[in-house]
Amino acid sequence: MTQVLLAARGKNGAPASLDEYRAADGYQALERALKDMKPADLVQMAKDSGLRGRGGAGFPSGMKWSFVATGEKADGGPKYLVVNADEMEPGTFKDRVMIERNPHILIEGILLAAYGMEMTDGFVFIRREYFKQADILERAIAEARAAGILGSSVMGRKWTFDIMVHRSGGRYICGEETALLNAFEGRKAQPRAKPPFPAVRGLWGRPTTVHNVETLGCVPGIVRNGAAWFKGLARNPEGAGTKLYGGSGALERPMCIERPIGTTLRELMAEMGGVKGGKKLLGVIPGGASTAFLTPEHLDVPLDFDPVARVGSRLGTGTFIVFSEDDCPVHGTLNLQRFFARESCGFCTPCRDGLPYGVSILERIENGAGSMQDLEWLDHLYRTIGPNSFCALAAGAAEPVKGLYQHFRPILEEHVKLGRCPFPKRAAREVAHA
Amino acid sequence: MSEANTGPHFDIHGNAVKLELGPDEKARAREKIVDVLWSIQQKKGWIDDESLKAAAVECMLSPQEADEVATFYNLLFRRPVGKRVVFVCDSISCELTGSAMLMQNLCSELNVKPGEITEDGELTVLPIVCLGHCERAPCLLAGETVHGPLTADREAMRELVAKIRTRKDAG
Repeated sequence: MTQVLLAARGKNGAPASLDEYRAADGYQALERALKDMKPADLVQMAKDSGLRGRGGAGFPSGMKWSFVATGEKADGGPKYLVVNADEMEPGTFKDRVMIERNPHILIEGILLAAYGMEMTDGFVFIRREYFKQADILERAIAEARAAGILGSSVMGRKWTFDIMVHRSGGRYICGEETALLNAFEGRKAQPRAKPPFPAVRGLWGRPTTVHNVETLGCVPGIVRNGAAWFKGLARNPEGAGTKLYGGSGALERPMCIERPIGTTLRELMAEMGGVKGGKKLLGVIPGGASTAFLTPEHLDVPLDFDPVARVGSRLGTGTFIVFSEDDCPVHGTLNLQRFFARESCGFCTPCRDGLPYGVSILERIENGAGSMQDLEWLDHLYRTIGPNSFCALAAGAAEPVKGLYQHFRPILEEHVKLGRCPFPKRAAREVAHA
Repeated sequence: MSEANTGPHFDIHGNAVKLELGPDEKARAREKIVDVLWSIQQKKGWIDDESLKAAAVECMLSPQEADEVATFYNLLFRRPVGKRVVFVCDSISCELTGSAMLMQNLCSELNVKPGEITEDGELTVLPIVCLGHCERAPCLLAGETVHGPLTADREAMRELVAKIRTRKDAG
């Protein structure tokens, strides 16, 4: 069993302390980097490792690091590393688990990335509902400060670096990196136009890199054991590293586990006890609300960025949501669309007005009042919203609808033909949303 | 901002960072607005107009700018709520495991609709998006504590409500 991100263990399920993290080889990578490596070496190592962003987009991390001006090209002012711990993608809970169990790996990852990009300050943007997790992180930061790992002289060097935790007011859009920067600055969390990209003008107009929690958690292992080792962790040839996979929904034992990236849905679901109550599997949403459905025929697809993309969906956050044969995918999609419509920041029209319209059509279909014309119109609507909205939120919202049409078109048509939802749980749901 | 941001600051090469290129006093004041509004809400339960104006002054903003923030975020309230807000997750993982039934039972137990305040002024129930505790679905957040997985069992719900009312649910 490969445990890298969750290797350090605290006593009785408590977060791993500084000593416990050190016992699991923690902070060795930082020592080594500060002693033997130049910042550019770290960037090269991140590139060679094949690390891709774990927040959902899968952008190559080394390339992201190389966008930040360093050395002579930089102007000598502040540069910021911002950690996105907003984690509000429905079905996603992996970053929370990493922070709860191994907070120091995030701190070491921040320091290494900051060293590579010559950053001057670190910030963690965390959703306020993660009260306990923010406290855990602040305690770990205080521990690191007391040990001279953070603060006025990092590991005894003439380098000032500290990490501040910023608690959000709570909105899904804060997870979008430029909206996050606006939220951080005390504004409405509405996305910014790109370019300029955050690497050029980010937080307070300064060069900024925004990284997901799990992505940074991968960095200490890469620096300690090398890029080749990291690549070798993966189950599929094109993959790199381990992944925090989460399973929820109609599962016997929903949980988050660390496994080599490229592990299949079949294997992960077996570890989680299979579909709840021994029911048949209808399908899964593989990586949070903004990814398209997969079906039982995809059980053996390696859960890595490219293999999942090849079958028409996205790995997303790698936390999958299971639908059993009793769960209506139209109702599930309606739930997701209610979420997206509610959380739209309201800045651009296709998203603000289009998503609630999509909800109204889906409601009609799910309640048995839909027509075949509605089916065409709904499909058309989401194809229009995605490419015409300002940020990726609405494009993400279109993904599950795309999957619904791709894999469950007969179920959609059955709703229209029968004039009702053909799935069993309907009564309780109707009452609740009335 | 951390203390290190205001004292002497050296980059990885040991050169002094040109802090004057960073945020000015106004930007730093503005950054605190969510925390300032949150602490008001912790004391008063919600953010009334007077408090909003005070927060705006503290953060060097106009009242309108402060209100933009106060009305945008899910966890900030511009109208009265119960002394404690119970957030019931209604996103997909909880939905698939019975959050609709949970919300229904909780509301009928408290004799309120979502958003209303219980007769004793103690509680308000609100739906919220995914709480990030999907392995414990269906779940809810009361104060700073997440409860789950919960069931449709009415007796268990009654016990949980009693604990939340008396704030004996923390842990």
